[in-house]
Amino acid sequence: MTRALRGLGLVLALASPAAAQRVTVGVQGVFADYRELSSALTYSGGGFAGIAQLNWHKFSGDFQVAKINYNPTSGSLATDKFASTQFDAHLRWFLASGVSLETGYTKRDVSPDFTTQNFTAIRLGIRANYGLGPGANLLLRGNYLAASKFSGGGTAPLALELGLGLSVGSASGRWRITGDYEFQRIDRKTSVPVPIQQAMARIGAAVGLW
Amino acid sequence: MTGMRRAALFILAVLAGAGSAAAQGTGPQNATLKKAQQAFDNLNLPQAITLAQQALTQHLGAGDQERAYALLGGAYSNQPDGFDKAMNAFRQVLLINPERTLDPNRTPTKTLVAFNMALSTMLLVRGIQVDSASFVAGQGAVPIRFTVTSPARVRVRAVSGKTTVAIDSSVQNGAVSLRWNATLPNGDPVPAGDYTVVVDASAEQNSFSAAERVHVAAGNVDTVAHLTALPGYSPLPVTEIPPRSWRPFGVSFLYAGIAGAGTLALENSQLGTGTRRELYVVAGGALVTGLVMMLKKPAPVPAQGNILYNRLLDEQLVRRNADIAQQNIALRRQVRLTVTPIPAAK
Repeated sequence: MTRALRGLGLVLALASPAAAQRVTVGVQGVFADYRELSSALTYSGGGFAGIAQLNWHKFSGDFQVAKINYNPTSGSLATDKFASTQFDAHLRWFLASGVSLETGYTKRDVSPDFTTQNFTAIRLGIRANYGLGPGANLLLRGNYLAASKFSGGGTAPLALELGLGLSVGSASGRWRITGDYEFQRIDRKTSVPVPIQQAMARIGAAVGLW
Repeated sequence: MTGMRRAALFILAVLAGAGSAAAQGTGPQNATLKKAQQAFDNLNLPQAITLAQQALTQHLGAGDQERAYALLGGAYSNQPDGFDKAMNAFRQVLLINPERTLDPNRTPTKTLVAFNMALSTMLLVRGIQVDSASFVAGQGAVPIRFTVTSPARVRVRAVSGKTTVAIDSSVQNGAVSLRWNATLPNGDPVPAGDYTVVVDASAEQNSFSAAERVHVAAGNVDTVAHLTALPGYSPLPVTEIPPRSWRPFGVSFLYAGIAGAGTLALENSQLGTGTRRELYVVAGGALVTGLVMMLKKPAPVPAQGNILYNRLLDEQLVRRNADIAQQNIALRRQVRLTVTPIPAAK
């Protein structure tokens, strides 16, 4: 606990009042809903996530790691809870008027194995960022999840991701309250359709380092 | 009887005026002249003439000589057939003191006429006066005024040591007004120092000179201060507060709507319907943020028109200051001359 407080103090001390922060880090609380195969196999859970964002000229990117403990929902036929560790990378190239071309990578590992599917994919899409006012931004993104791979095999010819983001804080970007919503629909097919769906919300805070 | 009394009073007043006109400052020093003055004051004009002539044969100072001749002039001018003698007496006065004047309000007309006739028959330069002036060399001049009593060739020059500068040479009569630019023939300002402005008047065999001393000081010309702002023009604020707009809420509504509609569209019916709490929390936050930003006082935004205007002002200011710098270079080469007359007592 003491180490965590010292680390947070170090992070805040490093935060400078520059007008435009190039590096931002943050922590988030996560709650999510996960469904697979049918409406009988549903989970909900919560956890923590961390995020690091980089901005450099027309390039920007962020890296997120989320640890979520899923439990079967009431009415679900699932009996085993599991933990999911999801890593997301988003790399963007600014086009114009707040619109960026986005690519990235997503990887989800579950524990214990085979409780649900491990999943990896490459994301391709666009992101729109709109400034509501000084220090307030809204973003919307849509990605196609290509090259999907599952621990249990199979393919996903249709895998889409939709995101809504919110960021409110100081105009300089030194501190921010963030909220992110991410919805994934993955139409996995083996010999039979085995669809996967995940909705995740991240609520947290971030500080600009420099 | 009344007419005789009036005539006597008039003559008394006239002679008193003439006597006082003849008197200069303190009274005469010579005893004979004092008696002559008393006789004049007592309207005993023949005795005053006799005594004044006797006094002139004695050794008199310049002041007493002037008084004696003035007394003679005043007395002769009021004697029958004494006009020419009065003129001659006044000529002597003017030779002693060319600046001598009579008060027209206190001097009898006959005396004044005799004095002026004497003045007009002589070549004198009177009332030479140099004004105080301060000017940039080559761009101004100092006025010089004097009076020449009869037509003459008048040459005016300024002399200081070995430096002699011709000011004017012309035929003049009466009041003369000249302007001296205090420059040498080559256009350079005269060196600083004390100068004597000499007026030489000559007509046939007659000539007369008068002089006035002046001091010429040389100094720097004031330069123009640089501008920090253009007079009459003020910079405009570079930011302005835009009017309130529904746009933040509209966009947040649009984004949240797309996310909600997209979620509904993408939800797989095979997997059932969840609580959608993730969507509601973030979309709700987006809507609230949009609403707050719509109601909040808009932040100042750059006013492009004002920025361009200010840039133009800055350019004009730089240009004006560059002009001033050039002007100051020229001004630093100039010399300001200050000419002041030196009092005679100095």
